[in-house]
Amino acid sequence: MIGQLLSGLFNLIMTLAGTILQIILLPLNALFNGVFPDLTTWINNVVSGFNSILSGLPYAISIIPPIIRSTILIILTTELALMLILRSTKLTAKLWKIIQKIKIW
Amino acid sequence: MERKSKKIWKNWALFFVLSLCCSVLFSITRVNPAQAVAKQTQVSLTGTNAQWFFTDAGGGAPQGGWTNAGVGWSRTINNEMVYYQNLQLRWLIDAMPGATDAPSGHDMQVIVWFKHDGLTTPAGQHPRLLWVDNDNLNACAGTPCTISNYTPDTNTITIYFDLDMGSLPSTGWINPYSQYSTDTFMILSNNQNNNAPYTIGVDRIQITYWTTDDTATIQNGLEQVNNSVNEVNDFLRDDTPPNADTNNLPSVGLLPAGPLDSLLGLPLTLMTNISTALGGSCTGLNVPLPYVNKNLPIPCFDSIFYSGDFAPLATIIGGSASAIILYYWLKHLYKKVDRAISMETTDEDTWGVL
Repeated sequence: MIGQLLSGLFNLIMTLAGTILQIILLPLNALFNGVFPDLTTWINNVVSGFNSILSGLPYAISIIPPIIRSTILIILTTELALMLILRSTKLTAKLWKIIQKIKIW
Repeated sequence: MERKSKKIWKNWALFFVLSLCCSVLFSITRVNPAQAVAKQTQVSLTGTNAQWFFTDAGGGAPQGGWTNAGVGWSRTINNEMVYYQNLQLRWLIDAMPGATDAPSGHDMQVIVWFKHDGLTTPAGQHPRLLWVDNDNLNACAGTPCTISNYTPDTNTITIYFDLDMGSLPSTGWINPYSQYSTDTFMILSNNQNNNAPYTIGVDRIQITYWTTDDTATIQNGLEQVNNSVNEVNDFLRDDTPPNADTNNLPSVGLLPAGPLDSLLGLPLTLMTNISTALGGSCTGLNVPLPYVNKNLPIPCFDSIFYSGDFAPLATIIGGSASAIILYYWLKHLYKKVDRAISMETTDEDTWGVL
């Protein structure tokens, strides 16, 4: 139960990170779709191949005892959350410094 | 004196060597007509260059005149078995340079493509033309010919002519609309439409003959090159708006998937898969066995070692390992948080802190 909860939290963070990536890449995606319309087929092949490689991952990970799995999940989720908090704080601080330098008033 | 004679001898030797070189070069570059080899070349005839007509259709109704290849003959006869006979062909070739007898086999091969549109057949049968074999197939209006290889799937017949190709003129027009007709062709269409109009006829003709002239071969090659160039031009002039199919791409975020974020999001996909695998349940594997056509089920470790009688042992081992891992990780975490709070870190830190 706690494993699924942590996994859901992890996936939520990943989805948010993916959405931020998508927003940044929106204009580039439109450009690629216009210039290389057939490229998406090949990208789809690459991503499908990648996913098929990962299809055996759940079985491989299930070899690890459940308690260790939960521990690893706790560590991964905490590290990911820490990284996001610290990174975003650093970026916000930098942005604040830039805003302070703009003296339009 | 001796010096002068040496000079003259030297000049003569030089002249001799030069002459020898020239003669060798000349013999190499000289065209030898005896080396001309007969090759096969193909001519595809359509439109006004190939014409046809049936002089008898069904109840003896004539078609009424020559029709260009590719143009169908409109019919409305409602018969279950409508047959066409006395098919005549004629074709126009602007030149057959160097036409010669075949070194072996037949001198000329003619392939005729038939076409039909609107024929209906009983259920389970494909609309097609049938070739009715009879005893007079080889009588090609007095011209020695052999008919073989009627292919119902492609609606083609192949006619082989054994002519005296050497008597034909090698250049210019070859008997405009040369008629190597026959009165023995018969096409049978298994038609069951009820007075609905349909068309039938010859689509195109392809002639293959032997020639000693390289011009024909070169012309064929040029035609192929021209076709390739036209294909490239058509591709370049294609102004169809590009349409990227992004529906099948997996989305890494909440927005619709795009090509770039699908690629750049692969690490995120990997991490999501790992977390799902860590927190989710396992599904057993089915390994196909060769030669016996059966699958070997391999159950998950959960159901073998981590449940049942082995569960307490697995819990002790897993708990000990987890405790060690957690101890070292918490030490690492304490250091990290401590450095972050104490402002001891620099920009080179991997995780990046204040």
